[in-house]
Amino acid sequence: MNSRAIRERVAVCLCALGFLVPPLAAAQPRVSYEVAAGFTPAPREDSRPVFALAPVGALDGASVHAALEGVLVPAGPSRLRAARLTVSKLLAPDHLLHPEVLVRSAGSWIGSRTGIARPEVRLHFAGARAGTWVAGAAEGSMDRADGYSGRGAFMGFGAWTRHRRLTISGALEQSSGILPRPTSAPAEPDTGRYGPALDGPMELISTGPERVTLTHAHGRLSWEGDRWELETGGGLSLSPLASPRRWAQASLAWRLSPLFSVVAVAGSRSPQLFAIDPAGERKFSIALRAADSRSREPGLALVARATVQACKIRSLGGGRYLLSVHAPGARLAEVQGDFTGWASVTLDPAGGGWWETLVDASPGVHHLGLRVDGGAWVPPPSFPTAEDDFNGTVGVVVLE
Amino acid sequence: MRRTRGAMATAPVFAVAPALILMFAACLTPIPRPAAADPRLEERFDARTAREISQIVDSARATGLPTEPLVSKALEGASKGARASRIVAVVRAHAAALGAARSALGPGSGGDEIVAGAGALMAGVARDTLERLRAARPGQSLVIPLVVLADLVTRRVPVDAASSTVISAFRAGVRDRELLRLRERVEQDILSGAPPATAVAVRGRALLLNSDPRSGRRPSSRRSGLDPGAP
Repeated sequence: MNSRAIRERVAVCLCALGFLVPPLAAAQPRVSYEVAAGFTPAPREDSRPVFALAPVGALDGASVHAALEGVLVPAGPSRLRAARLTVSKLLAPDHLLHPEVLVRSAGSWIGSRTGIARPEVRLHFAGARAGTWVAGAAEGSMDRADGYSGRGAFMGFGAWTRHRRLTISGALEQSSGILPRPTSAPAEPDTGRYGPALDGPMELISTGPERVTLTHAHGRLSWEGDRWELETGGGLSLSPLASPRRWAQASLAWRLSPLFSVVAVAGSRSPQLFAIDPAGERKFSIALRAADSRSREPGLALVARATVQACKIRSLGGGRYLLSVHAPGARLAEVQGDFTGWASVTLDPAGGGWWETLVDASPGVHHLGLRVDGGAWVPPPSFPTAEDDFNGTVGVVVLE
Repeated sequence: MRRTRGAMATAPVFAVAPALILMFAACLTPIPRPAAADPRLEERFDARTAREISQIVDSARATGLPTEPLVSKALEGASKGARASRIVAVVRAHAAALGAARSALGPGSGGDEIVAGAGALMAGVARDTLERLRAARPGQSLVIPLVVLADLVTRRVPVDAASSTVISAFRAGVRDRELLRLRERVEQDILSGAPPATAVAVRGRALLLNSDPRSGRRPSSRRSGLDPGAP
């Protein structure tokens, strides 16, 4: 690794830390986890399904999101190990134009070690239910065989809309790709970065690894019910050197309990998830997922904030109440009121888009406000309201 | 002579003893100090602002008004980033509203009623509306009617229209749950584009027409305990 590569890596890390640490220190981020364990196809040289683990750790603040995803196949001829880190920071979240800095990095250990970092700046124009964005990105890749290489000036734009439990998003993005080496050596493991050449005979026009710009068009639809979750996505990847490559995937999750779900996945994943999954493989997998949250939507921008659909307060006796908020697709839900001393309290996800927390309050008239995904404080829907005398409105509840 | 000397000798003792007792008592009597500010206020505000708010809270406490809403209002202002002068002004106005609400609702009013009444007054409801509500059904809880009234005014329903609708419904014996349903329907109508005055007039008339006088005459509970968000 040359000194320039080291400097650039350090700069990326410092940049990510600089954007992540201050908002985390100021806010009360919610830490969530998810572990999916099940049978999934091995890399393409294997024919039988293998056991795989896919752990995810996420950290959600009002304007920051960080997620570390991994894929681990502990046994078998191909011991796949890969990880992806995504750090996203929303600047000026209270304006109509939302600049967002997004750093995606990934690494894999499949035969040779490979790492990619992709800093990206997105400019969102977003409302409560729909938005659009444009992005500029650069990519730096590092692998043992080819050393460090950097590419920049990738463009992208996308749009999304969200209505109650349904979210639809689409994007057109560019990324870098590498075509395989023109040798008759055994096929290299597929990291997805080699994607466009894998669907058919290689169209080799040079003798070395060829770096190309891939253009991806992809769309995604997700629906979150009380017990069922459906996600479908599909896309098309184009490059100047290979035939177009299509992919599509659908997943269906059935929640057994607030903690456990059974997840069935069919299809192939997006090649944009390079270095995480074997790309291009048509597969069917079934897994058991343990997660304290299902609010992570990797394809959706941080700016796509959910809204509060419903709120309930149930007495548990002894001056204790269960506050439930329905906010499908939310990453973070908070409550503040006179019973919290007007301090923000983060709710816990309870599945099906519901968020809950226990509050201690005396019987009587209380004022409260709710906030989702770091947006504005709003009174709970269908509750009586009152002016708060500070240019806002609060909800009013009478507890017995 | 002896007696005289004796009398002269004992006179200073009698004169000094009360002074000594008074001095001793003064030493034992605690020096009156200003009441300590609520620790929550000291935690969130600078010393001067905390002192000003504490004075308002102490004054309210001395007159028997509920003080927790005042502290809560100050904390709310701090949480929402309001200026200290604005917070003090709002707390002072809220304390005055609490006093006015108690005065309008009567000395036997509960703390929740006073808080709800102050909210209605702060929203712009006239003081005599509270008096008419109290007179309409003495002894019944006014918490929900006052909360509904304040909500309607907050939703830009004209104060007179909102007051007359709620007073009429309350006089007719409409129960708290039905009043809350009226509020929800008015809210939906307004969100659908209906003028607030029209919405409250139409829904109020429908409520009075559909209310069953016999069931409506049932006394509502002292504390309704309704959860407006519950299905």
